Amino acid sequence: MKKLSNLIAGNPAAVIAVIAIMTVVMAFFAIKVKINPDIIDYLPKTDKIVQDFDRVGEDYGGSLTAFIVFESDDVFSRESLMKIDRITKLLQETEGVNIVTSLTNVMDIKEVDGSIEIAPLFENDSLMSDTAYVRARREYVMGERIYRGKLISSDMTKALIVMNLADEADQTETCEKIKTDVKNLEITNKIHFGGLPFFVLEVNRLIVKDLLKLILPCALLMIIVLFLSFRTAVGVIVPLLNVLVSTVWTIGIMSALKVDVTIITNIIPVVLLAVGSAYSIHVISKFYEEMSCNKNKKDAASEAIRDVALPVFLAAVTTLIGFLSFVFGSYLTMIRDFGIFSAVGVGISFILSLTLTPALLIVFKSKAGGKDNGTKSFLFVKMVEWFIPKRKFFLVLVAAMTLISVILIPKISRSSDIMDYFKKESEIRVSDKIIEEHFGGSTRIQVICAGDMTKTATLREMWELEKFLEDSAGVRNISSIVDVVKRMNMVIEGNYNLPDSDEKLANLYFLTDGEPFVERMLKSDKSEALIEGSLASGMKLKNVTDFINKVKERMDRDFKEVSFSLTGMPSVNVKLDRSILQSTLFSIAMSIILVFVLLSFMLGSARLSLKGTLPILFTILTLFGVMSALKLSLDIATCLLGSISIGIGIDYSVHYLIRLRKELKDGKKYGEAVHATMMTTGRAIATNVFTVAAGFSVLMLSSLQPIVNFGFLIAVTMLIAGATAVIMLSVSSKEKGEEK
Amino acid sequence: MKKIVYAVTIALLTSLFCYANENVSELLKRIDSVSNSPKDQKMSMKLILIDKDNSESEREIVMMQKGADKRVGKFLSPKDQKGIGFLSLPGNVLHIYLPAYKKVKNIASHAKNGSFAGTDFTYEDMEMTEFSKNYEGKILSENDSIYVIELIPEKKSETSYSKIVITVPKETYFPVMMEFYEKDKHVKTLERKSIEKVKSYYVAREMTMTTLKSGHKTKMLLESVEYDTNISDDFFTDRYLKE
Repeated sequence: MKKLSNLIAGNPAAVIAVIAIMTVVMAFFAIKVKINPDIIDYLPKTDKIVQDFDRVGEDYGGSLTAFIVFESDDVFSRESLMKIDRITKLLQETEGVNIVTSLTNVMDIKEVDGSIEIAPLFENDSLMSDTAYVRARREYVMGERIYRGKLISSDMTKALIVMNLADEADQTETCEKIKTDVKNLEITNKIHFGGLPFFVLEVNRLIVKDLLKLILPCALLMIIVLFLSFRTAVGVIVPLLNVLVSTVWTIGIMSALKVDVTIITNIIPVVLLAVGSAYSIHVISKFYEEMSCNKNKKDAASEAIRDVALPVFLAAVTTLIGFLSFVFGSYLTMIRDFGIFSAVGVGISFILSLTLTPALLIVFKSKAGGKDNGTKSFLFVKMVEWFIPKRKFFLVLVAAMTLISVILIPKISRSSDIMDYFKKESEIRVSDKIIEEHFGGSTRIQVICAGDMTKTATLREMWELEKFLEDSAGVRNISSIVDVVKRMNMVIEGNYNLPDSDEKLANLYFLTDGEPFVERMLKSDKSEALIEGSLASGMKLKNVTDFINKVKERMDRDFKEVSFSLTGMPSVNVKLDRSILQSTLFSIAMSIILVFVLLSFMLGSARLSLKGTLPILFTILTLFGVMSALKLSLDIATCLLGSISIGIGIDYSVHYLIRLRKELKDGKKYGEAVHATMMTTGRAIATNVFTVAAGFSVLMLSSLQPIVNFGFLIAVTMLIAGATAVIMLSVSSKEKGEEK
Repeated sequence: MKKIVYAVTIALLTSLFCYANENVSELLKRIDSVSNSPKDQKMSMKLILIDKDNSESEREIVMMQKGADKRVGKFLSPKDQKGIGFLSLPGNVLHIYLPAYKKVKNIASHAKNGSFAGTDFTYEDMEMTEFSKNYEGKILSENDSIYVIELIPEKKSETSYSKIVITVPKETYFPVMMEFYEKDKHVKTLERKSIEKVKSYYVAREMTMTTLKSGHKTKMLLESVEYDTNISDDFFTDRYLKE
């Protein structure tokens, strides 16, 4: 260790040069990193729900449905219809859009003077010129339940355009293009974009916006906190450089390994800003401490490396454990990626804090003893010392908070609906509300029906299920081949029912063979069909779970000809929720156990290790208590809190315990040793707590709701973790001192 | 003097242009004469529908055609489509016979560019359209063995295509490839193979129509064909459909 520290301290320029070159290489990769906002990709490809979802995409022209709502005082005015027609035609020609359905292109099946007409609802030529025709159509359309509430709202002020996007196309690109092109049509009416693909586009936009929006204030806040702590330019620049370099390396590695940035990995830079700076701060703090003993820079740096290497290493390893617990504990690929690359970033930060940080400290001009030691008493130290004699009060406080938390924790709500990502006033939520109010909702469910579709008995069972979905399960806007067949049978026989023989069914199929709208409903070999419907989005997860269970129970009962499987976003959400819950519990348990084992090993005492782990256990309980009290739900981002808190929070205990042990070894009495620890490591911990909390609190400016909650909660957690670690350990050290 | 040169140049150019045009319309007439001009034809064929994932389904039909736009046909297989018949008459009229319902139904308006029995051919594609009467031609390229000709529909012609590009061998004048455009976007391609001469007409025993967006294909295998046998008008009636 001594050789290594001397090597680094002896060749600061070489260290900086090597790191600079590597940073340039990594930056080259980092700028090419891609963003993937697709929710489906959160789940592994092998998942049954994902496979069903993909199957709908492959066999029925796209698994994802997007919507455009066109608003007008009267949708049936000639001008409005022509505008809808322009949008429809534009969409039909857009690459990546498979099927478009709107009032102006929907195929209408009806009887006209004894002949079957399968033709667009509006004949284009007449539409352009004939108001009387349009008026006549209005009466017809509003009288048909296959159009009213599906393609046009009951009050005739809103028309819905439904699109199925090709799964193989880049959906973000397609949606982006649709938005720009529709805008370019220069239609002055209100137009809303809804449905999952547009939500994903919005998430994508917000991820990019966040990346740019968050970094600057985060850096600014840290600059202020760092300057207040060290009161030197070097004390500000060095930790920030450390963070910058580790972020560039991490993103560079992600990009080189072709791992995309997601809504969660998006926050890695901020995590590194908070965590990565900590290691550097401890090195700088120690360096200044040594400099104040009139050592030269090289010796001070070398000494700082040697002294801080173990606690920083331990801190890094515990943090690594926190992050790596996601790799083994999570079913969701996105969270696994977050775990892996945060861990990579932490590793890099650790190495840099022992190489780049001391090298920079030597190279930069700095005043010896940049920070004054002990003369001005630190508020934080004062607070801790106020608590030390009030042991009982402290214990009661801890016990009370623990009790309250334990009571509150079971009441934590959970959320996995993408709608919850957006703030209430956001445009996307407004669109969604309109679709829900007038067209039954934008969340699509799909039921894949496997069976012999050339038999009327099969279709009868599908019809049964549809009736159940509509009457008992609240599904709206249902469409399937059953509807088409019934309608055609009515046109031929005057009976809105399924035909009474398989031969008649075959004849009806012949009439619609090759029609694109049928391809969305029936597989060409007639071995499978698709029922689609809409659910209100923003349904409480419990209701979604109830819905799925109810439908599944019904599907498994009574049906002989068809086997049904339910897919679509609600199923994906329920799966996500289960995975989130599992991930949270598993990763927390795993990180606590691993941290405990590691500390026992490193500190050589299970008792000391338990002591180190207690503050963080208390912190986690309080965290979830706070979440429950503030009604913040456990979601894709907040599920990360537990393990991250353990990873980062345990560091405070580690630094504190190691320093205390050293002070005791140096022959100080317990009281003196605690005071000395408080004045040195205690202050570094305080600086670190405030920097990390400040860094994370910036996330509250994010446009994505889960990230806002995450930022707030982790900032609170860090404050609790830091304060608890120092106070709890100081109080319990006093106990031991008195015993002695 | 300048004016004279100018006038002569224009005259020369105009005559060249007319010559070129005349040349193309002659060419189109020649093409029509070997493929689009029999008075009537009677054929039986197998249609193979091929999905983008290469799964196939088959159907067999017999069909008669008289002039450019009278057509009647019946399905022989698959079993559940046996007996279904269609009758297509001038003026965009399409009658379908549904044997299970024992009813002939008139299918309105949308029929012409609608799919023919689930294939990649539309009812329009099945028509024998004379290029020289309905299209304006332009030679896009030419080499020793082929012409590539662009066909733009005349205003009066009722086609859903905005353009057709055909590849014609100089030896037979029978188009071997046709690319169909809608709003200037290439949407379908027809390839003709196993070309034979029957009477004075060329015929392809195998035709494959591919829809580019979906990747779906239809192979039409001609099993037998007879030309100019003076088919009676009685066949092009609802009565024949029901027989």
